[in-house]
Amino acid sequence: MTGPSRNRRVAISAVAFALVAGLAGVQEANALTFLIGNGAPQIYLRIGQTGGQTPIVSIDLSGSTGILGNGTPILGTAPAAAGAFRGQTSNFPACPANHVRIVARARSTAAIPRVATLQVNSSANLVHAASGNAIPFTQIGWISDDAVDLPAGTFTGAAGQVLATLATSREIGACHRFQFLNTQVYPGSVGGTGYYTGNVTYNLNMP
Amino acid sequence: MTRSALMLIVFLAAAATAFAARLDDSGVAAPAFRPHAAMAQ
Repeated sequence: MTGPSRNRRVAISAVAFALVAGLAGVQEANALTFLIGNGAPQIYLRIGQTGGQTPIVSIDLSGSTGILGNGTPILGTAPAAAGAFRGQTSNFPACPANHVRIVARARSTAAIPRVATLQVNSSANLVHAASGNAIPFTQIGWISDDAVDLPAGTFTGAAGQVLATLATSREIGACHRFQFLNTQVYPGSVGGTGYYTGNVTYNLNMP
Repeated sequence: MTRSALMLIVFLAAAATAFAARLDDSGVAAPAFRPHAAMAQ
């Protein structure tokens, strides 16, 4: 006679899904650095909308279930205002749809040149509030229309990831489109979709 | 001299997309052999 045996089954659910039409295009590599007039020390930073608005990038996986985890980036969307032309950054035209306009400007006097550093803090994960599940920002990257000054990249999850340095008096800018790198599969909530939210903070510093 | 700007990223994941390994323990402690049933026959 044998004793009780444990009968355990592991069910792995996988869903077949349709490939989302590839939206990622190869972008032109433009270096967009502008020399600006020297003057009293001043910095300016624009990430997306102006006027104190926080740009919101949305990445929706619900139509991409068939490719989850296979490393094909899934592009995010952004409101038109995030990439719109603005008079405050008149050197730069409107971005293509779903891109976020980034502009950093640093000015100083000719006698006292300075160096400004643009950093981003992505140390706090994207979090699904109900379950506590998290996605690190290392799963989020971006494509760029400027391969020189603000090139394509990926968040490192560090508090002080350096994106650019600019010596006075200059202005740099680029259009970034954010994307989920899709190298790993993350769960939605039980019985439905799951929203993960997270913030990154850009910081321009000119000591 | 510092200036900061915030960006929010919203990420919508579909539950059906998850590769969730689900353990089914319905058979736990269920004996593979039932001696009493065998003896009854």
